[in-house]
Amino acid sequence: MELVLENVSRRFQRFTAVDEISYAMGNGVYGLLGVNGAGKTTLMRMLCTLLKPTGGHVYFNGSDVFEMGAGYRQIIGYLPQEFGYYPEFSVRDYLMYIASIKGLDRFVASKKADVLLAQVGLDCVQKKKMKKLSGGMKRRVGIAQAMLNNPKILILDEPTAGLDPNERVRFRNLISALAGDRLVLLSTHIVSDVEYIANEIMLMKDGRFIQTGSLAQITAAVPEKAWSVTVSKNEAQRFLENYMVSNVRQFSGKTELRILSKEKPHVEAVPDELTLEDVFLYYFGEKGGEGNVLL
Amino acid sequence: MFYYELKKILSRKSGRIVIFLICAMIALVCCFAVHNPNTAYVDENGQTQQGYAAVRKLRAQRHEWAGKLTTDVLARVIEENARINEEAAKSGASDDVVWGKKRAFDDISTMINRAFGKFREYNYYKIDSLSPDDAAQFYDRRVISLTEWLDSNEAQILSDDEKAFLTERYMELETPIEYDYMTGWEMHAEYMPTVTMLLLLLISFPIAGVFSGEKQLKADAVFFSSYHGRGRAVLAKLMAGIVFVTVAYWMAVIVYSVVVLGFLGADGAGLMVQIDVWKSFYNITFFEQFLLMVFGGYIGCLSIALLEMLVAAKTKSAMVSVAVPFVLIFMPTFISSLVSRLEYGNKILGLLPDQLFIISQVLSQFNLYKISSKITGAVEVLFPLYIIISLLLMPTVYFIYRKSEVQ
Repeated sequence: MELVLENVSRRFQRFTAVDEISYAMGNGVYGLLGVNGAGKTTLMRMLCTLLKPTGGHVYFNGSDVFEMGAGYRQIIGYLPQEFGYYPEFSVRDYLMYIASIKGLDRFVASKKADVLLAQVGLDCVQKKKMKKLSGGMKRRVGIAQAMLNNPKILILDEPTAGLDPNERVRFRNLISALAGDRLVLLSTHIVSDVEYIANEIMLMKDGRFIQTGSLAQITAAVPEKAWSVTVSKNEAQRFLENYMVSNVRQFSGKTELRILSKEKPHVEAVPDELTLEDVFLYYFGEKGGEGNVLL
Repeated sequence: MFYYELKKILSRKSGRIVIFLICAMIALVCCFAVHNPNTAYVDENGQTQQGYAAVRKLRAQRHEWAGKLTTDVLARVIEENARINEEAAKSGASDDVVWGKKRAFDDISTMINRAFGKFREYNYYKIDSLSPDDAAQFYDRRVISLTEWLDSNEAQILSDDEKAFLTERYMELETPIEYDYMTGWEMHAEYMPTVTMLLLLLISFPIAGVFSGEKQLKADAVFFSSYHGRGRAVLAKLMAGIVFVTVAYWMAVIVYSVVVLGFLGADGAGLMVQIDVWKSFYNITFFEQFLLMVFGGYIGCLSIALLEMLVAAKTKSAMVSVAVPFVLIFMPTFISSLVSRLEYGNKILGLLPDQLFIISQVLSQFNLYKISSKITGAVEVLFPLYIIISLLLMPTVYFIYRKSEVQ
């Protein structure tokens, strides 16, 4: 199975949301990482045939997905960033309705809904109205609906946005469990979401992939090193103004900093391993400046 | 899919409120239709009675005059009217007592007033100035007054062919016409436009959500990325919209018709509508008028609801789409004075969809159309026109919605 993006672009009048992206994906979990407005949602919507590219093509196993139409939609599952639902429907009714528009037979749909509701831990609230569910529960219904047709391609747009840490961990584990023998494309701006579960990571900025590869490949591509140093508050301010600082922790009058720098920034600085968060800061963060003030 | 689409309409608060309002509206209009001065019985003391017993008395009273309206019968009405007036003058009876005595034949009196008055006028006391001998001219007067009007400046917008058409239709009315109690049909026709128009305005709220709901609820991404999302699911929406309009319309109209005709009686179904709409050139019976009204209302509701769905499918806005029925129903009232000044103004106004809701009024108007050298009335044009529009709107809604992009 292969999903190929060939020079895919999408313009909205003068604004280019996605700019000539080419990439190939097979089975596995892909993490699409970027700040808000990077073009992640637009790209995902094109992959779901919700938006037509203004340039380029998306191919599934060699066929243009827009020409495949329903045949392609049959093998995808999509959880959008803003997951809309029918507030007056019960959880079960909602899943049965989505199953019907996914072309599932009523009997099969009922069985599948049972399995998925148990899998996402919502079997006890299946008769509850959607509007009565918590944010985390709604996202879990969202993932269940995306899985109803047992999709070969599962596209999840910011699935953990707005969830508390517990729900986020739970959701991440759920995605890992569901990954199996399929392509899972997960977009997020929360680094930890993809750090543990993605086989490949695409860093997206201004509509382009600026770096792709495994976590190791991506961190290796960063020319900076991570340093940990504990300094006084006054000194810390100087570091904030001149370096990329990925973490600041204050304790008993001292400040512990995590700094990205090619050279050792301080005699007492201790080298550390680069994390995805550091990589994210390197590509998407701003380097120092007077605007960075220690409060 | 279809079941869930219907459930979406009915499960929304607006859907449930609308159903309640439709029931309340029907109950209220039925009350107005069966309980008004036209259905009242006035006894010998001039006391007005209302209710089912009063309707039965009025019915029995008018049955006495049932039969063909021959010259003799008309002469008897004129005589009876004069006798009651004379008696009242002597006894000094009140207007209510006099009214009660004339109540049995006041439908016929009204026809006589219309027949002997000028074409565009109605003189309530015209019958008082007639002698029984005038009755012989009753049917001729209908054609004569039309001819006089056709020769006047007011009718100069009509072509010679159209004038000939009207005269011919007038002459085609078989005389003497039959008379009987027909208050049930009369009242049904009077309140039918209220029922159908209010019904349309009410159902327009849930209908507006059928094609805009997904966008409003942000459920469109899942919908359109699903297997049937750009095919059968769209069809299910369209079907749910049509079925909702159809069921709501027919339930409301059937309940209204059964209550009004059940209460006031369905006698007189086979009588000519000229008893009520004297100047009409449509030579049809009350039952035929009933069929035109109920099917006209349905076609009107369906075509406007489909147009509303089209606007919702295109704009994804319930606010914009819900305005469509309001504009189409109320706009003609506001623009009529302006448009009617144009050469074809009345012809244009006569083909607007609001006309389907006021068929009983359309029957009394002289909107004529020439279609491939054949002159015809508005009713014959309105039905096929809006059936075709509805049939064209269905695939248009489907194709526009299925091509939606989610941005």
